[in-house]
Amino acid sequence: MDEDRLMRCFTAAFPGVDPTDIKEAKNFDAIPGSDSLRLVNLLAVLDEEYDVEIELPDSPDFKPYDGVKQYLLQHGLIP
Amino acid sequence: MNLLNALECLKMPVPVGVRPLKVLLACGFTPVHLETFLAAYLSKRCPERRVEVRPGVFGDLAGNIRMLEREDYDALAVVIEWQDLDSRFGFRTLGGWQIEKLPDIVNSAERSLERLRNLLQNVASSVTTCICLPTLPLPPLFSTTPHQSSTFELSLRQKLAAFAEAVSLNRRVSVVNSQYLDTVSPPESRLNLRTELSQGIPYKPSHASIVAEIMSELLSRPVAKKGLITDLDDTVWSGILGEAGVNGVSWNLDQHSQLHGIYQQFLASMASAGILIGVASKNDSSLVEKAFERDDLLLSKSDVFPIAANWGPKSESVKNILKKWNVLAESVVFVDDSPTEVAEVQQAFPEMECIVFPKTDHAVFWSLLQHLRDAFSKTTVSEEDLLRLQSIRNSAAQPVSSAPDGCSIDGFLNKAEGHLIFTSAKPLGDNRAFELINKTNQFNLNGRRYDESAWSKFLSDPEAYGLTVSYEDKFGKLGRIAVLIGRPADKKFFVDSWVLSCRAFSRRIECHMLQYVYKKFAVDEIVFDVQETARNGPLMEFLRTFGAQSVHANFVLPKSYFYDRAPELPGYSIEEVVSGG
Amino acid sequence: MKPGDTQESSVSDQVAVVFTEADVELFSEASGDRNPLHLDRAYAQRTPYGQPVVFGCLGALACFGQLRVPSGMCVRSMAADFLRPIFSDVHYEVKTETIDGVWEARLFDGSALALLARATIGADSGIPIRPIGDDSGVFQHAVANVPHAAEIRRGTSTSGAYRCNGAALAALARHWGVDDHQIATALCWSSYLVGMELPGEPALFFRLAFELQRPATPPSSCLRYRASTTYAGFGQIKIEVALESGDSPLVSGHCWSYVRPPVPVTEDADSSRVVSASMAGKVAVITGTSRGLGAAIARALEARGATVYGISRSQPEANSLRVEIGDAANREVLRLLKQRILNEQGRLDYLICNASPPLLPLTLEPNGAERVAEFVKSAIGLTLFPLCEFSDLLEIGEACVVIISSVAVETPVKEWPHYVAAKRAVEALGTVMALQHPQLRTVVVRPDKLITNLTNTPRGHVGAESPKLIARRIAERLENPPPAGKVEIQY
Repeated sequence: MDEDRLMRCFTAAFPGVDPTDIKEAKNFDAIPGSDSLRLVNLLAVLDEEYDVEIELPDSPDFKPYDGVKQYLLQHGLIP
Repeated sequence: MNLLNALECLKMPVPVGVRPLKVLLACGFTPVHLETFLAAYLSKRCPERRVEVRPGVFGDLAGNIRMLEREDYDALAVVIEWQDLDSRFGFRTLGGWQIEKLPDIVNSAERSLERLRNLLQNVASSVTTCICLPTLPLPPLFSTTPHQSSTFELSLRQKLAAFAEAVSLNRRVSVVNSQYLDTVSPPESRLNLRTELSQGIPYKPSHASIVAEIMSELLSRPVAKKGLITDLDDTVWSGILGEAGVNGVSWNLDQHSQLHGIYQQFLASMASAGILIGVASKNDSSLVEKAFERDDLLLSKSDVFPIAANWGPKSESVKNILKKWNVLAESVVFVDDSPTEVAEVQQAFPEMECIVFPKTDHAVFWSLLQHLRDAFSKTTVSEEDLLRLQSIRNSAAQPVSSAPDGCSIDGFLNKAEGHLIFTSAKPLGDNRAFELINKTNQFNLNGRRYDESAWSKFLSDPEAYGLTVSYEDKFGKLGRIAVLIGRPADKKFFVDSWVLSCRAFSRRIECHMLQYVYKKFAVDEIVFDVQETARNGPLMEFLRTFGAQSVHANFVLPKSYFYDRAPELPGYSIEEVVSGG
Repeated sequence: MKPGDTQESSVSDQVAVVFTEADVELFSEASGDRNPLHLDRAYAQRTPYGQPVVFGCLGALACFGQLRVPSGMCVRSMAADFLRPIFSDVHYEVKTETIDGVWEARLFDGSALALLARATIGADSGIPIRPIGDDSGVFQHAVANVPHAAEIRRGTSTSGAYRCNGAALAALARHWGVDDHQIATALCWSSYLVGMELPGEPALFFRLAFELQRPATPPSSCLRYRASTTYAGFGQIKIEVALESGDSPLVSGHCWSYVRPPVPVTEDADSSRVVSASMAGKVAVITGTSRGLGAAIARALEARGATVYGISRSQPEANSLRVEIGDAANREVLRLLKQRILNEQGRLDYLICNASPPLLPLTLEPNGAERVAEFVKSAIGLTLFPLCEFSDLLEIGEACVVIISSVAVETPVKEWPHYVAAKRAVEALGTVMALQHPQLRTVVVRPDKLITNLTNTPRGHVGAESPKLIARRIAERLENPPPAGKVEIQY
């Protein structure tokens, strides 16, 4: 699957953050620099790229990168 | 640009030590994506600046505009939406759509517009400002079908138009063209009701991108082009003059050549705004002369100079026109129906914009007119703009460099009955001085450019002094052709910027200006903040005539050197005007 | 002026104003606002401001004290923008003018506008508010609310009874020359509401806009208020507020505040790219380890096996036995720490000079000169004294000095002349240190903006980087330090 495209969305919304930190973050708060603005940017960018309005679960265990990737896979938005 | 690209654009490193471009984004909604796009577009347009876009707080447009009072900003971007005029237009506040409330809503909106107008006039009068009027659809307040404009809606839009007209009178204010916006951002694709209700973000990212792009263009206008060189056959008119004859070429509806008539009309309009129009045509010159005598030609001979009608290469004609205009190729657009000719001229002048005239494609023709209007756009037309063509004609007719009848150049200048008007004004209030400083390349002390904000700041400095010079002689008026700004201190005069229009070369006006400064301020030295640029050879050469081996930064010209080495000054009459500051 | 007269435009003379700690205490007593940002020095030291901030509404009160309302008239609307923090013992000036019937007062710190207050005046047709004579106020909360993230949302509301401490209010109004107690009450109440309840402790009151109504009957001894959040997002909240006496509205309008986001507790050390024990046996001293970058560097080095000693003015976020509490420019503190290191370790491998005073914007003008000088002196001292004190220890072995500077030395920030000057100076100290001690390795780090308590302001986080990332880069460089005698710049 096109992980580069998905990671590009994340790195655009969280500038300066290492992709490794993004992939390994246990929840959104664990991504360095995470705040409401960056989250809104991420959702808007995902909407633009994949034409999808993602509703993120309000759970402290939701792993951002894996969770979004799983969501996109389940909805057939990425091969 | 989509949001992903905009965010990535903002991650790009900015060169070290660059000056910030601080823009206040004043709106009443959450500006999240609009702010991102505006910063990204401005960063692309001004790569030499570090762009900082500052938004205000939610739900207080007027208060956010007043943030101009907090700190200095280089520009103000105001985005008005309906709910800023009355909260009942919005979707986040409930309880107010009854028909009987409509008159009150409209009156309330009018009062809000009045307050905004006063605020902009008081607070934003000296800042480059761009205003975007409401772009979102009005809520279904009115009793009429959506296909019909109700009287209340029309009244509302009338008040909005009156507000826009009033604020646009300030030359520093530009208003986004709603008609243009409608073509690039379909009205039905603007509102995101979901994010408006959840986060106060009413715009879809695509609409925010377009609004930001237009506002960034209006806030950072490039210098307008100066001249357009056009072909004639199948461009200004339909048909080949040499084959069809003077009366055979056409530009009318009956002969399906109306596009050419519209083009002529457009060129005439540009000429009336002071844009130089030249002709480069492979044609018999006498035939072209006769064609221009046709009564029904919408582009008159007086609008055009020069007309290069010959059988030589187009690039040679273009070269000669540029020489007569004394204008650089990058400031000119070339239009010709022949792709071959366009390619030839483009090769000779890579920096010139060369366009193939779309004689059969109406949609492309429409785009061409929009593009030319954009390339040559000016907020105001000055007296000098109107004089420009005539003064070039006069210069071409009476070349100053070769004096007639064997007289010396001094003799010629002395007989020219030249009249100089030195206007001292602190600050220099007119736009022409600002324009000259920013457009002149060759006789320019250091190539320094000023944006509106920097210009205002510099000239509100009580120590600053400004001098503009106007010139006319028996051959015609040149208008305001030189600007010098600086400050006197310690028996010296420090020149920060000095420009002289190339149309005024070889008239020794520059020497007259220095003499004026020595006398007016009784100084012994003039210190020039000079910097060599790629194009200011004429200025550097002038300074070298005063005996300096090299001209360097903070070049000092003692009075004694000046009077020893300056040529004899022509006996112009001099008028001095001192304006208030 | 008489009722019915229109106000002409006018300009008044400026008035000098200085706020003292006693003024702040009196305002707190009158209003019931006990937000620690204004009253708790230790708390304020951990914020970007570094010292207690004067109540914005007290600054507004000082401005409104210049308003002279003709008899028969009263203030109908009032607004204030709190643009910059104001501090005790700083010389401010209030300038007033009336333009087109709107009275404006501006509180200046030199040329920097700190507060803007406005009022409109109309005919007085009601009963003026007088302070109640007793000493007790009625305040719903005695301790500032610390909201959960979920509480910062649209719809959150609060209500209750309110009464200023009458005696304190009267003294306050008298001191600042505010004749209209309704203005004083509105300012006290809104300060309490925002600073104690909605949003409470993390509030940075930014703007207020009120309509004032005169009650038709004498106001009751205890007023009631209600407030509801109409917008909450991206660090801002807007609340709709009302203060009533029985059924009579007295004050209605809106308040805007920023909500200081919680600075993440120092993140766990990044263990994913750590070469385990790469710094085993190494000893480091870091100044300014209580939080932010200093704390992040400490964790990064400890994750690699180094033994870290810190100096900080306050207790670090995470417990550590190896912290000396004190000022990094205090020679006694430094001597004690050096002795301890000699006794316990006998060596020093890394000295990281990170401590810096809190940073607030200043202008190069008479009013700011002393504060600029004080900052520069303090900032240089925080690097100079540790460098000097540990220089002999550093000479043993291949020690490395890290100077935490800033990208601002390359791209100066207009509002930070003191910071730019100080960082350039500490870089120069590091450079000369390398000349005087050629066996040392020197790294000058120029990070861009960081997410720390020092940037925890309304827009401070925009474009800021996580300290963890900078700390990791520093640690990785120290694993492979530059050659001796050279000064390396790292970003």
